[in-house]
Amino acid sequence: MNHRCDHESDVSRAARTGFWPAALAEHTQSCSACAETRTVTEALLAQSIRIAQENRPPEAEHVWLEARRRARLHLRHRALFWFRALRALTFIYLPAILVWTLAQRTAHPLSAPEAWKPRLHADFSALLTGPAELFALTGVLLAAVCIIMGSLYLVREARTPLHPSPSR
Amino acid sequence: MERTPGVVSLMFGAAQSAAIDESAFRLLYEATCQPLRAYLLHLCRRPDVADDILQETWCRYLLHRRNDMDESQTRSYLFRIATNLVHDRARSGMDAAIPEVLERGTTPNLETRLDIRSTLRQLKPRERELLWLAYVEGMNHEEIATTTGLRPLSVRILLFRARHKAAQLLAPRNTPGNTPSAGSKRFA
Repeated sequence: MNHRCDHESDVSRAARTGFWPAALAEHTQSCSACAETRTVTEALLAQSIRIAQENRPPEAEHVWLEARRRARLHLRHRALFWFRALRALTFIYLPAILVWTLAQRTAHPLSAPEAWKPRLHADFSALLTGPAELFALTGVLLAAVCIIMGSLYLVREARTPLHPSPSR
Repeated sequence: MERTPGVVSLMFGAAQSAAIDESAFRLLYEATCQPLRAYLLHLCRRPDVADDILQETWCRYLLHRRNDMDESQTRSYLFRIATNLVHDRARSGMDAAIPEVLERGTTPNLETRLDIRSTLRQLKPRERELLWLAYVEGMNHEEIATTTGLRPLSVRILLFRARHKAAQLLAPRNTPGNTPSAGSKRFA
């Protein structure tokens, strides 16, 4: 293998700009590392020029619109993640609340059959006390987090319009 | 690698996105799209794939960019996104089953063009990546390390090896019978 030379970056820069100081050109002829750098740089630059000549990049307008479209899609997917999490929480918490309510009523049976009528105030008041308190509060907090995060992504999506800006 | 936005960037993301309008984007795009696309074509060798990755690069840039980035950092950031996307695509094997197609306007009978191209194809993807960033884009070792996710010392060594390999592959075409490594001392 060749040794390294401090002038390699100068040689590379000269090959890119086309400006070769006489001393550097002379040095490159005698230094194998710099000669190697020049060979490789010139080959890569030839490749770069060929690519630039033969390929037209996509129009900025198309890339802009497509980027906005993908950005909106990305934000919607992010929002969906949080709303799916909220749905999963619902699937966990609804049966749990139902079971807990039934268990409460079974533990404290009332004589009259009208005791099985809905007693929302009493049931939900009882839910926030006792052993189920932490479980219920955790559920409320998690649901709030999911709603806030999902909504933030939806707001961002709404603020990423697809149509071109009116300045153009 | 894709940067997952935290709560802060999520909260202020709308303001960041709004900060770049289409005219600003157009200026930035025209300044960087040609080198970025050439880099992608050099790495993945298929115009359709290069265009797709280019598009995704801009999309991710618009989503995750920071306002405090200067011109050099923006360029480095774009190349980093593009490099990571090429790596992701290579890992997933998405393009393995599709044969490579020639770029638009390529004239296959031009011996010199094909010679350089086929020579460079013999290099590993990582080597092609490092050589391009160093010698076409003129990045220093730190910038290349930022772009590729390698350590600067690793960049230095890998770049040296890649350059040596490329020079050996290119040498017979330029000066037949010449071996550039002859009589030289080993890199330490």
